[in-house]
Amino acid sequence: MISQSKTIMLKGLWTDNPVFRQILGICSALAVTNMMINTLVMGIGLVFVTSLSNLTVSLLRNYIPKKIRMMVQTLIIASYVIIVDIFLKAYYPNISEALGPYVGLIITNCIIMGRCEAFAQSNPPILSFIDGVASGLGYSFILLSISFFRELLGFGTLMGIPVLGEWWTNWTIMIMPPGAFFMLAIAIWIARTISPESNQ
Amino acid sequence: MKSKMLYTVLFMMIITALYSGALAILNEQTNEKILQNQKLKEQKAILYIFNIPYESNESLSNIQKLFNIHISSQNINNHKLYIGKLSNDNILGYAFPLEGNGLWGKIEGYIALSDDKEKILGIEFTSHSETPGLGGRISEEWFKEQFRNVNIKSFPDYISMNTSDMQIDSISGATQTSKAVESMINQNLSLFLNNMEVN
Repeated sequence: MISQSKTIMLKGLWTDNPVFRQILGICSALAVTNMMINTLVMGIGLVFVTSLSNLTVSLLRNYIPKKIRMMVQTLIIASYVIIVDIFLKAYYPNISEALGPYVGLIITNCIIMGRCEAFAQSNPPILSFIDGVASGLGYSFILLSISFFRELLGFGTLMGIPVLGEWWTNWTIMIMPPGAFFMLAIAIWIARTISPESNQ
Repeated sequence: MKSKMLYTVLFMMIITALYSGALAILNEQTNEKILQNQKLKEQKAILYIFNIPYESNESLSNIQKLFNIHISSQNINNHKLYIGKLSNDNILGYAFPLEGNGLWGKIEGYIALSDDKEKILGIEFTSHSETPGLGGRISEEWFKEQFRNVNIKSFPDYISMNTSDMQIDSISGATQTSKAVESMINQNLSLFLNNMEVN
């Protein structure tokens, strides 16, 4: 069990990383990475939704009729997403505003449904939960590295705190969509160079 | 076969009912808090445009108290109007909601005019979807503060940015947003002033 969890963790975080290996969750990787704080909240939201959806799907896996399993999965995922949305609106209105429609769009993040289908559907609850956390963390950590550079170069700040000072000229392109494409491609390039697919 | 069908349908119905029920309860319990947040934001915006100082971390009840002392609101021809007063009941000016199209979507906010309607007292944007770091800078302090005490006697361009006699700098790199804000303010001002004259 423990060694299994370790393998799952390692897979989600690195060897089978949803972003640079499976190229999933790219829309939000492009959209929310221009400031680290937004990325962080998005990451926490995704970890929460993926792990709990996995857990729920796994608990119900023997009862869900095969024909409608996708409907059930969507329902479960949507409910957790709405919980995150309501929670942010009520207790963190500023972040809710900054993330705007992206919170609701967590539901369309392929990672969640992908993990429900590929893992939770055929594995016990606790392992599924760990798998959800691992995939969520793997996604968050790649996005945070991207947003680290985008925010640093684009705003001269990190987590909203100025670090580069007055002499720095902001690279406006970094905070606009093209900057996201460049940085994401570079991130995938670096990660795949460090661990090429053929090694596995 | 038939019972399997029934099970499938029942399963879906029950699980949908369970989850919708749970969400409905959660929604019910946080609804008030969310409405409060919105109201607080609106009240802060209106206090800000009248330049009535408040601490940014002030509690809800204190903001409300301040708002009740200084601001009263009424409807004129279905247009919301806020009247700002000093502590001694002298009228500070009038405020009304702004609305217009930005580069990517709707921009909403509030603007306050002086008692004689010849000056802008302040402006605040409550929602917009402009590019963060470019057009999004309209909600930054330096941009909004430029509007304080700007004269609006000229007609029909009450305000214009970047002309030699104007006090308002547009945002470099966000020409479209700056233009949108300019025309939004001018249109809303002309509507409002006409509406006030009729009454």
